[in-house]
Amino acid sequence: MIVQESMGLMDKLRILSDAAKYDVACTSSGVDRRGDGKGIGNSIAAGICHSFSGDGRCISLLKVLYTNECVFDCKYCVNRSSNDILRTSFTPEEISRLTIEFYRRNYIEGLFLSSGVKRSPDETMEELIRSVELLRYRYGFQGYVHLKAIPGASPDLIQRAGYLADRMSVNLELPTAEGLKKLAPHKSRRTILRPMKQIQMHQGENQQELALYRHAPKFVPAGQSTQMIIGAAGESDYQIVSVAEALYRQFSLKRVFYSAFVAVNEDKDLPAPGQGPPLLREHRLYQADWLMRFYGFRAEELLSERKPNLNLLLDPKCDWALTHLDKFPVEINTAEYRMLLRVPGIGERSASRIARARIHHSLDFPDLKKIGVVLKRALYFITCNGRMMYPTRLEEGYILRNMLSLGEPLPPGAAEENYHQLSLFEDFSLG
Amino acid sequence: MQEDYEKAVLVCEDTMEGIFSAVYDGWHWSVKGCPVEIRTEEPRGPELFCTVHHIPSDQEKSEKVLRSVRRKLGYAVYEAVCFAAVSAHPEKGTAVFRTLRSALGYGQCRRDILEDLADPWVNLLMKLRTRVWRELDHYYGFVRFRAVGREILLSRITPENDILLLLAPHFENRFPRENWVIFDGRRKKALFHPAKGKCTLRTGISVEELPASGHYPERADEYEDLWREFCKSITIRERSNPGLQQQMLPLRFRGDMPEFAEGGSR
Ligand code: SF4
Repeated sequence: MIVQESMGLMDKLRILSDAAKYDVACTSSGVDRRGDGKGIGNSIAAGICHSFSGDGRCISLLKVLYTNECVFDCKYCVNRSSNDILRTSFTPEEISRLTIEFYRRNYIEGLFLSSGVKRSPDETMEELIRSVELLRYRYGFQGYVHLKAIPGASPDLIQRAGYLADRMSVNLELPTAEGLKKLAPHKSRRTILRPMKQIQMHQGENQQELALYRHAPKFVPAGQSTQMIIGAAGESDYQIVSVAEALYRQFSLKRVFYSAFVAVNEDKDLPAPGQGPPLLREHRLYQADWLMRFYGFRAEELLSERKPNLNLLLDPKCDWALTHLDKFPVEINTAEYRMLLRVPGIGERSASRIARARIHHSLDFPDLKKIGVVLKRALYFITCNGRMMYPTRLEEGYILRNMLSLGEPLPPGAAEENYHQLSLFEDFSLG
Repeated sequence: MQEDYEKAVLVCEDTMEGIFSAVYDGWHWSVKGCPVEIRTEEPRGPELFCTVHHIPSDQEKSEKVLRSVRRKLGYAVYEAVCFAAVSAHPEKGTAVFRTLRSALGYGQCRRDILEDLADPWVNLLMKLRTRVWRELDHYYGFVRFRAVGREILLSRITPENDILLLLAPHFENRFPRENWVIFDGRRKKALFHPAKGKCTLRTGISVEELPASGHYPERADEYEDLWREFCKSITIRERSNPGLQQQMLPLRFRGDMPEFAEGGSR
């Protein structure tokens, strides 16, 4: 391993931020904390974007690795111990100073500090803690800090870290234990899930403490998140969303992030480099995740052993509706709120407007338009007072063609893949 | 002399204080039945059936108006008229006036006035409010301070709307123990914040009068190089998307941001 001791701050920053760029950071901090006038900084729940990088993503945190030295050998990672790359580390003084100097120039909202495993998980965790301690105590920093928990670090270190950070995360990396074993041989379900559980339990206790003593120190007030790599180990979407659901339910996670696999290493166990990251699949998983968090869908409703992957052509809600046509049409004036939410094209906002408006009088299609419900997708699935808007057929192939012809806003990258998928589909359906 | 059948055109200073002083003075003409317009620039050509009045800014009058708006109509309306008053739109003064007139005139007190979007003036007011709010929100993130000397942080902004004063509470809370200055290069005014003190606004100043201006903008701040480097290396090349970047961070902001400066570190 080439470790360069005497590297300048500029080179360290370049190497260690480059290595952190695939980590998904949340732009909204979820914590409101006013400055008390004695230190520097505050935290705004909705988050603030300070800049946008060349890929169009919001930059709000100084997102870096503490070190890219690593004794682990995760196959998908540039920093794996078997790679012959230049290694370097910040010191706690350097990273805390850099954060403060960036912060007072209003470049950032705070720090997102992750790290390779230098010598041992405990030693690494100690240095991360030391960095944030300097930031909080020497500089009086009251802004946002997101700290990675190093898999395998001892519980008392996790505990200390939790009182310094706003958010913590342990990356699950791969949804299945086998995938983990194959691609991240030094990590295990146990070393990842144990700190996650610890943080969850302690957060629960902390809530009770805070209810009794308002000024008790806060433990991970912004909650914890995790990240899974998509498309590295051949797992199905069904496995991924089931795991995500379990993480929300059993570990009270705030967010699960999905990161389309970008090939940085050549390895017989990995997809070959040269293929682009599966951005459309990543996008569909975020949509499915959204349905589970806000629309009351369960993982088994969206996917199953028999249908293990999300339809790339359609958003998961449309796809669900098309495969459950027996549940439609939905009568706008009488349907339960949760069923309104399941109509393609009707979001939370429209559903609650309908629910409020129909108390006063029964709604017809012009009324729906008036309260701002967009009907171009919904019209296939709803009735007003027993009538449909147009005489349409409740038939899968027919509705599917109409949905596809409506198009859909997609993030770049995913849009091109979608185009490719659609042309494949056209070829098949013509044949 | 203002006759009843004539329109009253009030010309005031282009500041919040100016606008609300004009609202105060315009009220009694409006009560008498004259249509009132508030402008921040002299009318160009001669206009028929209208009288032009010049309204001097008056802190007391302006505060009276704002206080009663806040008390009678609530915070949302108060915020909306303040935001609209600093917008760059030529009809903002009239929009503020007519909206307040519909809300409080004829002995009414319509706290839900902002929902009356069918009224063209309320509609305009809400549009202006949103524009200003957006720009303000952008600037919370896009303001860039440069360290000049050891003790002073200096920032230059070029906002479309006159939002300088609205930035004060946010940055006061965030950087209470720093000496900082935010300079509006377009309107030649600046917000001065002494460490542990309150902000003050000074108008009619030039770059040369700013503290340590000898350093600005020639002398580099080493952290600007580090920041540029960071912004570059955090970009995922496989996902490069300058179109989206520009949509999120329009070009007009970039002149004052070091990460977009030419002749940076390389
Ligand atoms: S632990 Fe694994 S993922 Fe983390 S830096 Fe080391 S090799 Fe990379």
